[in-house]
Amino acid sequence: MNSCRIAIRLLVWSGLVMGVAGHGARAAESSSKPILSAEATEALARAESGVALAIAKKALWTTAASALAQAQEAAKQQDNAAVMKYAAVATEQASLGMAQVDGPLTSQH
Amino acid sequence: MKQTTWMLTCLGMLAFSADALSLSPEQERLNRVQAVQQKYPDIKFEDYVYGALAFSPDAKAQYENMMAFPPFESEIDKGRQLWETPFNNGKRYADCFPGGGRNVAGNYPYYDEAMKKVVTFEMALNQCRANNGEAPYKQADMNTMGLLTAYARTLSDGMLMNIKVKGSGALAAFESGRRFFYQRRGQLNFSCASCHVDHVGEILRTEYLSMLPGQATHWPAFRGGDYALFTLQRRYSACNQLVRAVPMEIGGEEYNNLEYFHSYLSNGLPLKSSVFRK
Repeated sequence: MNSCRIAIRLLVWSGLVMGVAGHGARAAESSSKPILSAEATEALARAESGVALAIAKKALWTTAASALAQAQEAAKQQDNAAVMKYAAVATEQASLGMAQVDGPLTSQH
Repeated sequence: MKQTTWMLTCLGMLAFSADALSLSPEQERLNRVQAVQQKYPDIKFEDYVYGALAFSPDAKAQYENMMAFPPFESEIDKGRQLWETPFNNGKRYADCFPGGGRNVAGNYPYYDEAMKKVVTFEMALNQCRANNGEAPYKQADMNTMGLLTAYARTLSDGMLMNIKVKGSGALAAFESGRRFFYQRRGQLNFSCASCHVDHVGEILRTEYLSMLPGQATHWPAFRGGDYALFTLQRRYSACNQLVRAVPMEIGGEEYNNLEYFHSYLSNGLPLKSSVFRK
C-alpha cells in the first residue's frame, strides 16, 4: 500500500517538474524569436493601405499584389529585411497603378 | 473688332477640341475601320471576323481545316443539353427570347434604360433563369454559363452585329467602355488599344495582333490545345493579367461597359459561333 502511494507521489511530482521545465523551455524559445521591428510593421501597414486603395480604384497591378503577399509572408517569419523590401515594392507599385489610371488615354482618336 | 475675332477664334477652337473628345460611337467605329483599311487594304471588311487569322493565309487555312470537323463539338452538345433541358416549371430558355433564341445574340449587349445598365447576353440568360425560378449561373463558370452561351450563340451564327447606343445613359456606358479600352493598365503599361489599334497586324512574340473591328463577333471561343472555353469577358481577364493588371470581375460593370463599346465597334459584321482560336 505504501509503495503504491510512493509511486503515485513520484508520478505527480515528476509530472509537475516536467510541466514547469517544459513551460520554461517554451518561454525561453518564444523570447528567443525576433519580433517584427516598428519600422517593418509600419512599412507593412503602409503597403496594405496602399494596395487597398489601389483595389478600390480598380488599378492594382498583379506585381503589387504579389509583393504584398510576400511582405505578409515575411512578417509571419519575423524577417524584418524582407518585410521592408517587399512592402516598399507593394507601396510603390500600388501608387503607380493609381496614377496610371488617371493618366492620359492612348491613341484615342 | 480684334477682340471679337479673338473671342470667335477661341470659341471655334473650344468647339473643335470638345468635338474631338466626344466622337460619336459611329464616328469612332468608322475611324477604326478606315484605319485598318488604310493599313491593310487587301483584307476585306468581312474578314475582320477572323481577327489575327486574317493576316496569315497559312493560319487561316489551318483554322478552316479544323472548323470542317470542330474538335470541340461535344462541348457544344453539352451546351445544347443545358439550353434544351426544361426548367422545373416546364419552360425553356427558348421561351425567354424572340424567335426561340434564333438571331438575337447580335443585339447584345444593350443598354437597359429601366435598369440603367448594360445587359449582356449572359445576363439575359441568367434573367431567364431567375424569371423561371432557377438560381443564376456564375458568369465566370465555363462549365455552366460558358457552355450554355457557346451553344446559345450558335443560334445566331451569321447574324450581323447590331448594337445600339441611344440616350445619355447608353452613351455614358459606351464612353466608360471606351475609356477602359484606351486606358493604360498593369505593370507593362499597355492599353487594349496599344496592341489592337496602335500595332494592329504586327507580330507580338509569335502572334499577329488582331484588329478592333470584328473582335467581339466570335465568342465564346475554344482556345489552344485543350480547347479551353473562353467567353469574351474571360478573354478580357486574361489580357489584363498578361499586362500584369489585376483583372476586373467577369460580369461586373467595367467589363460589361467594355463589352458594350467593343461590340458596337463590330457592328455590321457577322457573328461566328463557335470557333477555335489559338
